[in-house]
Amino acid sequence: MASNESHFARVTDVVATYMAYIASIILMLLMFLTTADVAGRYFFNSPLMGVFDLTHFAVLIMVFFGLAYCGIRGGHVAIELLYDKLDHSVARVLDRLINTVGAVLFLIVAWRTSIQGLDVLEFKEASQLLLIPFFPFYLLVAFGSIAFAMVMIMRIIHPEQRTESQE
Amino acid sequence: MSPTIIGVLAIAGLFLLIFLRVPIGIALAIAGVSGYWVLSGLDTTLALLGSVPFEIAYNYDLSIIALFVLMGNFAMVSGMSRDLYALARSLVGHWPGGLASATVVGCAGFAAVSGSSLASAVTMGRVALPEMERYNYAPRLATGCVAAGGTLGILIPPSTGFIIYALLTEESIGQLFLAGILPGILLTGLFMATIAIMTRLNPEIGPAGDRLGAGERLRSVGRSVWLLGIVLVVLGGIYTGVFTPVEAAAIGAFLTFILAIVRRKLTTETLIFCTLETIKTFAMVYLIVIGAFLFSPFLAITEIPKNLAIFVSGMPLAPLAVLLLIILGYIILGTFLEGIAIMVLSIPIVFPMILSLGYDPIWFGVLLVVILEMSLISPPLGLNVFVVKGIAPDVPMSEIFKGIIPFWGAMLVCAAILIAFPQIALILPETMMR
Repeated sequence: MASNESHFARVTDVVATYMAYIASIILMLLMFLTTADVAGRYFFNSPLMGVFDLTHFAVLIMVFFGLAYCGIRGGHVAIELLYDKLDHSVARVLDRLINTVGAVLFLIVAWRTSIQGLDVLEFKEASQLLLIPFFPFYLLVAFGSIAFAMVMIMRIIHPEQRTESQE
Repeated sequence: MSPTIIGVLAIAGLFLLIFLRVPIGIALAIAGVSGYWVLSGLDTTLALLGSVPFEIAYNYDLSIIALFVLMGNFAMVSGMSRDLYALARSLVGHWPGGLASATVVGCAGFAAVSGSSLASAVTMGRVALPEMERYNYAPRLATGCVAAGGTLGILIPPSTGFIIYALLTEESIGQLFLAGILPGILLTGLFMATIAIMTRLNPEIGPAGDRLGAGERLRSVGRSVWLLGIVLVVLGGIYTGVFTPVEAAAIGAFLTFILAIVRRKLTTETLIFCTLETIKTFAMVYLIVIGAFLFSPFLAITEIPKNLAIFVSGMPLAPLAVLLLIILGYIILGTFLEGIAIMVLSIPIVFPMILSLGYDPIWFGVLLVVILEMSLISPPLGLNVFVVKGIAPDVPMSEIFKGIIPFWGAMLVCAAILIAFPQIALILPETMMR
């Protein structure tokens, strides 16, 4: 990491990494839970209740707690074609522009998802089997979207930090 | 402006964004959201952005991707690619070009635990390329068979390609997985036939390896037997209906996890590496999927897909001719776009056409994946070629592309066979227990 990094970039990096750790734990729990469910069904004749519901929530958390990390570690499918032929400064302006649009898009997602979440709270919508209320998960989606937007804002501030190339 | 013109403009804008190296998911989202805004107004667009990201991620089937990617990562760290290569080599290594054939077979084996073509090419390439170099294989053949063999990752289940196809078209993931098995074996065979023909024409490019004794062979089978068992449990479980694809993915990941522990390959660091890599890949796939689901409602209100389907089915052309034109279009797109990107871009437009022509959606999914495999190795932007170049930096790019041409031809032959005999893809899903 470059030494001229801002406080903002450091915070974004830490937030994204911890969110990814949480997502990783959820992933392992999902693996054990689903295996236990099948084992319970076939060997002990007692499947676990509500794994179906929990899987939905697990996917939601893994996605939205993984987006920012994915953005920082640069796993996105992007191709270099026209870009390589562009002048360096033009390319940098374009990069900033694209990151600005992306950040705005995900901030809108965060804003609108929160509003939607309030509706869901009012109607007390919940999952099918375990009746887990949806509302907190809308906030979680909003939080993940803000973290992802932060990564793109970080790229606007530090365009020189290229993502690690694709593996 | 008519919705059609706005639709065409948005598609043009989408391609521009992709050329400017905007990640495909973000590009789709930008094009879709702006188009939707123009056609339906700001309020509906904002409502869309408040509901779609949540609804797409609140998804049971999407968990398959995470669990199978995790399984592939566990398989990778536990050194299974080495075992698989040793097994394949003990079986076919003494043939002319045997190490290349072993690479292809090893790739096919690894593809059965991994859904990604890149992962298959990387892991098998690291094991097989140094070996082929030791036996003085022509770099052209060595790199070509790794790049081509790696593409089997998205055809042989589990396959990220099939999962995304299933999400976009609402087809069954289980059926698609089963439909990919026989074509995967067919393509593996065709790759081996290609190697046999090449080494017959020019024996120096791939000398035969040593023939191993029976004991050695048995040992290599023993080392791979657990992995093969896991594959059998996962696919057999889906086929017999003992568990759903999601459960199969979780059990596959769990068994591979246990195997990695037993082999003493799983430390805290590798565990963290495996899970974080999985989360990264998963978020990346989600971003593509969400982009697709923000783009397709817009495309639907332009009515372009519907009109195109009506137009195509009314053309005085045989369905086969239309199909061949579509394939030609895919091959051209494949020269500058990557497989999954082509899939999410094209499915909303092409899928209604395919249905109106009366083709089977499961069969088309398999055919499409075979065609998209070609895009992974076609110049100038074949992703697998860059991966192989990364492992074998001394081999010039032009040499790798020359080595790929025969395998590219083999894929075309595979596609032709699938068109002539759709049963190869359809027999397993049609006989599966449900």
